[in-house]
Amino acid sequence: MREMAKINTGLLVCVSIVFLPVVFGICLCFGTIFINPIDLLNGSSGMGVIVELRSQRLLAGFIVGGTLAVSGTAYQAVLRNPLAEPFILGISGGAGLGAAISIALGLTTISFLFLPFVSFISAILILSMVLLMARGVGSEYSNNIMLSGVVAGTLCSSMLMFIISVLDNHKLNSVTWWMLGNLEQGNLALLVSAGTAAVAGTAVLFFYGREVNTLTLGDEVAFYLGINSKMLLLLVLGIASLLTAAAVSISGIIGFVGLVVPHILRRMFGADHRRLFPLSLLYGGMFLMVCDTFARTVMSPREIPVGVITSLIGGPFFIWLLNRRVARIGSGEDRV
Amino acid sequence: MISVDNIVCRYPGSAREVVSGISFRVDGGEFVSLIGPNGAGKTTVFRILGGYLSPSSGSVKIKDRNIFEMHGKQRSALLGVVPQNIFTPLPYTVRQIVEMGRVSRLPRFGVQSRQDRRAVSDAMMEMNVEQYSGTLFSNLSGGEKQRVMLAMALAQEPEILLLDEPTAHLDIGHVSKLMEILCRLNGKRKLTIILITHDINLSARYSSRMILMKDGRIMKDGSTESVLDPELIGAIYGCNVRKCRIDGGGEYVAIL
Repeated sequence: MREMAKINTGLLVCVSIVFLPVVFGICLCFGTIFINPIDLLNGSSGMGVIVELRSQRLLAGFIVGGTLAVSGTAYQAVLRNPLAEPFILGISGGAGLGAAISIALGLTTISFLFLPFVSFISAILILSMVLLMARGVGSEYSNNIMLSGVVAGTLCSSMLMFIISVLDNHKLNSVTWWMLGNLEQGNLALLVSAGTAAVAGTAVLFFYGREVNTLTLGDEVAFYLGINSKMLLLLVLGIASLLTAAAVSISGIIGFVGLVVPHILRRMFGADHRRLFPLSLLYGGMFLMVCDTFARTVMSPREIPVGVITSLIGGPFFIWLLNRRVARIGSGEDRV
Repeated sequence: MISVDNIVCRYPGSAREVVSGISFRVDGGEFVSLIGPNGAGKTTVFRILGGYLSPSSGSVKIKDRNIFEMHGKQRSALLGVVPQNIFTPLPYTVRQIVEMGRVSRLPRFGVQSRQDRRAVSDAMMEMNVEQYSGTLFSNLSGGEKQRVMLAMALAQEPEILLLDEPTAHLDIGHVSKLMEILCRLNGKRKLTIILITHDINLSARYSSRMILMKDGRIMKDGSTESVLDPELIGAIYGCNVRKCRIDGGGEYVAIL
């Protein structure tokens, strides 16, 4: 694994980009109806509509998975907590609450952009609340952030329940359908907007990758190394929250992608964020495409919400990481 | 080289002055220790000297330039800073950590230049950590980590080194090795060193000048002999001490 950390970043990203159409093609074949890959390549499958629907769904999966993985990578770096990710920090819940509010108020009928916009504002508010609630220094602060995130997530969930309880039948149907967390996104314009945000956000984070590396030593150390650490911290948190909001706008709340993918990538390719951000976008996207394919195939013709699959993988993974972290802190590692 | 002029510092929402009207000057090539009991305001002064914390009033100048108006790149080229208790939760290798010392000098999209690679290698060699190059930082011992952090500061190729309690939690063997390295850097490289410590005897043994602080004020600033006054030290620390001489030169204080 350590040898893979020495591979040139550009080469690594290029090879990963080559994987993308392969994974996309494989996922395209599976579903309630199996499409023969050879027919698919020849264009003679006779299932144009299914291919089109699946392609759009896979595109949604790629964008959502990629953005969630990139935002998880960013949160873990700047909050200096390997357990941080949008779902656990309550940011996804915040964005979800914003999305539910915009549906409930009928804002989405005015413009589809209200959904991601209100989600983003709500995500930023929840992030600010989490950061204000967490106090302390070092690992104490890091742990407090997680606890604050759980509190914020629960609060968002309660408010969401309240909104549901007062909605009329038509809006209740819209919110519930969206809350289930699925990738059947019919709004292409929303997909394109979220995809643009994903690529642009990842590019900016990549641009600041070296500086983000120093932030993992703490904002004070980064400052002494010549970085405008407070501005960078705000920028990274802002972009991570924007990406989370973009993902939630498409699919509802899908947990643990931002936890699992960055950890696996760091173990394989090291912790340099100039490579982690683009790789997170690519592999996070592929991860969710595969999870979604599994979700719509395993109990075919029934479909499992993709969030169930990611939680089944992510939950045990979180416990494993937590135990590992407790063992490391207990043994005095990660301390000078 | 560094001039600190009448700095006063209060934390937001508090009227209490953590630092009250401190002024001193450090010339190029000096090895100065800032000492004092717990709560004396040493770490606050450290953060102000590093430019991280702005004082309520007063100024800090390095080479006649206000540190708070300097660009980060200029500041990091002059001043290498090693604060207390540095850790990273992510798996960086020792070389990656030392390379972070060059971060403000690297082009946005370019790779490291030959000079950058040389500065990193020289710093690692100076601190004797090149054998850990590919080892994860989190797998090192406390003393090794401290040397890596010093290497990171040295990779900046600074003219001044500012260190906050670099020997805290180290055993006497590691303390001795670290202090010998600092002396060598001060003597050979003519690096100006400002060491924040609560260990009076350590600073008396290695530095040429001591600044004694209590309650945010400077109580004495002078040579180690003049600061190691048993009456003064006893009054500052609230205990009875006696000055002892070491065979072959040097002095230390012992608690009675």
